[in-house]
Amino acid sequence: MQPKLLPALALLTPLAALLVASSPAAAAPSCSGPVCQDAAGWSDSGFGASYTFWTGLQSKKNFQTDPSYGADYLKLGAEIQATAKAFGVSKPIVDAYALIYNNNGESWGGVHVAAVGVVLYSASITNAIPFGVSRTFFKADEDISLLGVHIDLDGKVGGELGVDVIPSITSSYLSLMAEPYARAYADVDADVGAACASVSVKGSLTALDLHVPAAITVTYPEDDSMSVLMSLDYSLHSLDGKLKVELEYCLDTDSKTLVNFDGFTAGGQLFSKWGTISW
Amino acid sequence: MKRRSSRLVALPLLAAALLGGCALLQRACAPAALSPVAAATAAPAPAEVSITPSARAEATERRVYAVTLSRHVTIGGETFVETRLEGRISFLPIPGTSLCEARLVDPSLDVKGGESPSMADLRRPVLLAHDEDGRLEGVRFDARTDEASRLLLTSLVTATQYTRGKGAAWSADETDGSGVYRADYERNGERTIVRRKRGFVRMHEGLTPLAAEGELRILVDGKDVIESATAHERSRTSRKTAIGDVAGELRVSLRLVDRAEATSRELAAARALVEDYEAPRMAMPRRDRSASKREMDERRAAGHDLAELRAAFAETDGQPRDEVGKRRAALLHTAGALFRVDPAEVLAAGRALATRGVTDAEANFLAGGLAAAGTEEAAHALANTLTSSEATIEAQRHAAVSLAMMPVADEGTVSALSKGAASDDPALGNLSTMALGAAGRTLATNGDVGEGLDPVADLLARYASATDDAERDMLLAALGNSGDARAFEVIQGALGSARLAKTAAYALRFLAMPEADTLLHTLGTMSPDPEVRRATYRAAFFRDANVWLPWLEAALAKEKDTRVLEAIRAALAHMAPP
Repeated sequence: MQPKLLPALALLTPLAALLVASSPAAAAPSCSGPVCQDAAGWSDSGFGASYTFWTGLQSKKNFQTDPSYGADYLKLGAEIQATAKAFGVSKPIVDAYALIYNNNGESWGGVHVAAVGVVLYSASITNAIPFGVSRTFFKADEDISLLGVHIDLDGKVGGELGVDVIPSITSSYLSLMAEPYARAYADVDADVGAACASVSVKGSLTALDLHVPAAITVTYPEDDSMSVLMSLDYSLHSLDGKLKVELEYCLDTDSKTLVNFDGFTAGGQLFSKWGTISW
Repeated sequence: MKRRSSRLVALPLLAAALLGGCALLQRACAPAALSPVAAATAAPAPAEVSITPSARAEATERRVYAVTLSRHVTIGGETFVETRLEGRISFLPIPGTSLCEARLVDPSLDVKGGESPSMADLRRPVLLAHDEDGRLEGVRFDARTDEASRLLLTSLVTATQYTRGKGAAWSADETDGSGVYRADYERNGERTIVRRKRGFVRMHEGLTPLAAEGELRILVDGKDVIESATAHERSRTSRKTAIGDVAGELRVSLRLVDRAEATSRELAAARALVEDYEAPRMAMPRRDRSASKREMDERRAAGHDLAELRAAFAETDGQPRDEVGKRRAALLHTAGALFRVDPAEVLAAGRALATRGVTDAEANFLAGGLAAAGTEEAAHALANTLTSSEATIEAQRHAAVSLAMMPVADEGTVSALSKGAASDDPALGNLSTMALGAAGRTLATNGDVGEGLDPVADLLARYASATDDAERDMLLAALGNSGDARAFEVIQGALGSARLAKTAAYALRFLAMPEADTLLHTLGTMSPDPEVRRATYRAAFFRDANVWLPWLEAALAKEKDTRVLEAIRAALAHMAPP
């Protein structure tokens, strides 16, 4: 008798109760002056995700006692890191940033995009860069052997990541529009090696959908002040999904909804400023 | 109980052997088990029970038990598998060995759900192997036996396995098809022995953790021969899975119905199995999941073809990102399955990707699908795109990204990436350079690094001749992808540059050498630059947890920078046991 495979387009997730129990609150990013950041994570034994982001502008004001930071020091841009977990395996699905620095009369910028620890793109900022790809990030599996019954689950986490960058570096100002983003979704196939029975999981789960667009223009600091034009936003959408298990039991079919979770979204303007900043 | 050797002789030679009450049987079957179990924790008490079949040197006894087994497995609370087995099982120790032949006789089997064992395989004898301490160490099968029969027979045997011990109570580590568990034995009066099972000490390699509990009650007669045994066991996955709780219950009972002196013909037949049967094992070997994976791919790809998937992906182009991501991810997974199932579709995708008119969205889809396939054919299709004079620059960029993310590298892919790295298009050059670093790591992992196929050497040479920090920074990132020890010196040197230190610290993440850990630890504790410390702990994410857990915990207590603390916490969350 040939093993029967389950048609399964399914998403990783545990029971609804667990998801609800582990669901994150939509944490409010914190801003300290023109720097905004946030970090949050959530997980249960089957699935999880976490993220951090940073966006804004730093100047000499943030490092007043450190002589290695010149009076003209600037750092501006946005960066995100996100990790996803499936079946107990966690991977850093994205590490992306677009940052411009100015220190002691020298300016430079860098764009960096890594997925699952592999740097895909790492370059100086010179021109506009729209970098975005859709890929399967990583796979994980469960091999359950219980009282002589085998169930195989193959999970995949895939989605899109990238960073859009429009820079401008002149002798009088720095300007950067940068939007790092990551979207990750989990999906599962199941095999129970069954002759007349099968199980499939149908549904979908959004693991993470994070965008951090930043638009910053700043003149080089003079006399402990500089003019800025800055808009920092973010949007976050996490952990929604509906999960239904279908059991095909020889001639009978039964189904049961395990998860019906709305997740949460958050977003908005973190910081908006135009005018002069002084210290 | 009668002793009737004549009727046993009449049993079919290859009558099915069930491992059922192995516990008891183990002793009865295995001469080696007659000695006390060395590993058992002895307690004072009754004299050792003897369950040996016969004390006579040449008179080996076959014992026959009536057996029933019932099994009920649920998924998400719903019944998934129900199994009921009835019949008889005979046990015949093979003199001079630690083996016992077990065979199932006249079994009747009712299976609902789950894979159904072949009756022919269930009837085929098996050999129970014991270690020098008398513990059941594995089951030896005829190579033709199907997996479902192996799993069921192993469940039957292990549910009733019995490790001897001295005294009123003792413990032993026993093994079943899922893992190793602690068995606690206790004598209740003169005739009853109870074994309790509480969870697993460890699972077999690769298996999902289970919680388990069970009880086995053994009744012996006045001569310490096992008259009956009943086992009741419950197991469940100890963590939730994508399909909810998987749980099961197993009941096995054995009742002695016959004893007889084995004939020389039976003994010869049992001995003949010793040479031909597979090595003993309790767990199924780390399973070859290729057939199962293929089935899953076929299911996922069923009804799809490349043209339809391309069209579906193209429909997402231009739509709001948050509305199409899930759809795109699913399409890529399906394309990957399709390409694994049908290599002709890989060729078609490769041709399409290298076509002059391919749109950027299509290039994203085709290259993403080929990466999801993860096969050599897919990698070569991507490499061909990189070298094609017809391919668009966007298609070539996507091909380079995909090659960086694939576990495949060979002369063809490295050659194509080298050409990409030399491109006049800065983005393609950059992406290909990163992918060359990743290819170096793949080649090393696969043991394929050889003369003429050493992208890391090329990257090091480029670094040595680099003329500015921007180029050095890019090459450091690529070298970091390689994890090659030859890059250590270069990376170490770059840490002295304020401009390069952040990239250099992260480039240490894959280097399989203790010096990398030492250097990272120094950076994490000593670097005044929070960006460098942060890169250090992002690199630590990929390092050995045994080395880094105490360092990370210490760093958590000392670090003040919020962003660095986030990186430390992320690494800790990754490394800490669930």
